[in-house]
Amino acid sequence: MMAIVTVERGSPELLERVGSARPFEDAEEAGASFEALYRQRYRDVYRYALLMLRSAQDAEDVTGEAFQKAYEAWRSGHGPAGQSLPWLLLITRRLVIDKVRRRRLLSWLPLASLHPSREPANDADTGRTEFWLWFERFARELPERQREVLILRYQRDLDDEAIGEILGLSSSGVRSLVARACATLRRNPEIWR
Amino acid sequence: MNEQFRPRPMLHQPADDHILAGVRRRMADVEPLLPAAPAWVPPTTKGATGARRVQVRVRSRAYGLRGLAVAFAAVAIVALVVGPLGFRGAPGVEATGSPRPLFGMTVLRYAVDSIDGRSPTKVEETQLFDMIGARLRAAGIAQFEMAAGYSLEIDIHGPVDLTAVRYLLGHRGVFEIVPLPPGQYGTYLGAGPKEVPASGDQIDPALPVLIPDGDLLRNQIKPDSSTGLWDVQFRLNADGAGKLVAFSTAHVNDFIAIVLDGKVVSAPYIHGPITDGSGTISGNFTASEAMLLAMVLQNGPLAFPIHEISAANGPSSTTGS
Repeated sequence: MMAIVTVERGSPELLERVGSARPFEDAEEAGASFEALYRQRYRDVYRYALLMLRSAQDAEDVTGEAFQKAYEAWRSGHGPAGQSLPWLLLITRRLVIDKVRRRRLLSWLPLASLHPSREPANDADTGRTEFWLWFERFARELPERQREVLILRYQRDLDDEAIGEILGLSSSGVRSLVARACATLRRNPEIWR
Repeated sequence: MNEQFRPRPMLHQPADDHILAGVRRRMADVEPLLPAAPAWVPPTTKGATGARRVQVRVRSRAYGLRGLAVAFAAVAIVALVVGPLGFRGAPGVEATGSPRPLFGMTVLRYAVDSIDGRSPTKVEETQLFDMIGARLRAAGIAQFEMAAGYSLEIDIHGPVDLTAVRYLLGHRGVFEIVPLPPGQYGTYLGAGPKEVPASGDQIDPALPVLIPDGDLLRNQIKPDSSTGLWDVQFRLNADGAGKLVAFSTAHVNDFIAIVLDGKVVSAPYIHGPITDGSGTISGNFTASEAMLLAMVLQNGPLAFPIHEISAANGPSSTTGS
């Protein structure tokens, strides 16, 4: 049985096994292997979906759907060519774009949960509100692409090349986008200090 | 040294790494919000999924299509059964010349309200009849008569969902998007002195309208359940889309009110610039509410508002025997 954690750390033979696009011999092997990947990467995929969609329910939907699509692809031999996280995030990104299109850029949420002043003031909620207040400010100041590149940059283990794969950019394109995001943030120091 | 070539003191500029480290530190606050992975259930067939919510949504969509099919079948059966019976129409409106059935008829009487103290002219009354007729036909009601006397009488033949008819005729159908000034109502980031109006609240008539009803593209309005909840999607014409993109770009996080006939349907906040001139009206609708609201908007507002006086089963007093 293959250990996905080892694959992620770059064991050459296992990396070759994952990247070979060879279908799994049996469902048990595929299921057990994928479950390890799922357990390891669920929070990473969820985090990306949550920050892109800013809705826990939508993030949960998209994450579930992304792993379903990933499983179907992997089982039929269309797995990642290298690391699994950029591959998973690429699938997730397409679903996020679909979701945002469906949502038509407007979020029609119940008003009771919208207004910070109406939130219950226990510790957990205050922490949540503080983060989201900061994130709303962050999202307002940065254009969409710049925001996304910084969200991906925060994702663990992702280098410029991997981010470029997800965004459809070259490594230098990613660096340029990051530099532009930094230039924007330099004018708004309260966001990063 | 010449003054011109003296090196100028450099202003301190934080390095990109310093900024990115700051963002990374703040971004780490998201970690407590991330749930643990639910148990993995491998999908057994293509299209199934381990995530329960996705499964529910797929079922919901299938149910919606099945519901539509059942509704079409019901309308077809009603048309086949009631059609041959036919009815004798009132002069001018929906008349077929066939004998009127003596049972299974609903008689609704409405009063036509004036606008600014002015009652409809004969031409406007005809337009009003046409609009009411269009709404009833859109709801699958094919056999009805209308007559105007002291009141507007609508006789509907055959089985009828009175709740649906009351919804269709009880709403004039004037759609508006009204910005809620942040000075009064606050923004998403902070409350204002006034509460953001809830669904069903009367909108303050003094607030200026950003998008009037005329900016709606009637053929682009449709009920939708792809998100798992029923809502109504709409699209604006170029004029409306232009106004919306300009406003939404300059007023991110402000609240706006979606208003129908002067009452708030929902009051969302602006997430970001709305560039495609489209939006969604949501309000915890049931499937039938979303479909009826879409029908009301698709057919345009009634020329004059009407309100129900009475509803009864039985033959009409003015057009019947």
